[in-house]
Amino acid sequence: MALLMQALILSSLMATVVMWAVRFPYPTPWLRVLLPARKRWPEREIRDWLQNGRFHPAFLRFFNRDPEREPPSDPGLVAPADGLVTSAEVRDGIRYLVIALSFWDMHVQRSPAAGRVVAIEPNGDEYMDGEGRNFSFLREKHCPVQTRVVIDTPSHGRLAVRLITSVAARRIEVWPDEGDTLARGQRLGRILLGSTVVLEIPERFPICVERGQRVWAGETLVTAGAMS
Amino acid sequence: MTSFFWSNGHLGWAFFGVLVYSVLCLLAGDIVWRLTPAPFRKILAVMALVWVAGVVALVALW
Repeated sequence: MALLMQALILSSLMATVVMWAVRFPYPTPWLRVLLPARKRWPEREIRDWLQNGRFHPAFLRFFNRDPEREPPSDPGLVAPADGLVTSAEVRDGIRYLVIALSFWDMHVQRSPAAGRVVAIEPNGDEYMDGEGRNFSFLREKHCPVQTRVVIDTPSHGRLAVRLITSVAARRIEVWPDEGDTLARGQRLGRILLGSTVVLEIPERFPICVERGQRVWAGETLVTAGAMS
Repeated sequence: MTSFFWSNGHLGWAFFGVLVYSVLCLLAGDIVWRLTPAPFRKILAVMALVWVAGVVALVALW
């Protein structure tokens, strides 16, 4: 009886070691649950999956998460996406607030303010914006596929949210139609394996986030207050 | 017959303990390596020390 129990325990441990060796340098499934998301699914492993198209189901569940968000009481604009602010350049009176999403960020975008969708402009592989393929904030991205959602808001005038992905991913879902009314923080769309969201704000609204700051869709204020 | 490796028709408990402990050490070392920025050699040295201390303790208990 003792020998049988020992054999069972040792066989499962042996299976664990074999799985560990086969999976190395990626974490073995037994250890994944103990690791934070970035360590559980390392970037190199995700890039391998992008090549072969075989994603870990648990990673896909994690990637497709869509948690509820509670917009703050301040009437300012809220961030349209989870991610890191990488730029807030101003061009021709428009501030381009660039939010970079990582593989581990939540990928559902939200409306920065209440308003009406006046245009949805998909731009495919051939997209050129007049300054070459990229704005300066996209210099590091070679072939962005963009969808620009223009929203008329009573609080901040005309805004736009650009959902940007690469040609490799090239899947952007925008859920409202032109003419639809959006609530502040309402779900706007989803970029599937994409990486950038740009919020276009009239320059006169000072922003309250800075480069390198982490923001959360529908919750982090990017401007304080609204038009009086 | 009772020995370190074999006892009354099954593996000796101390030997069995060393095997289980070694695998757990390996997995714990892997987690530490992934979660801390410490250099690999340092982690390896510490884990080796922990492993030796554990084995010595198990043998001493036996």
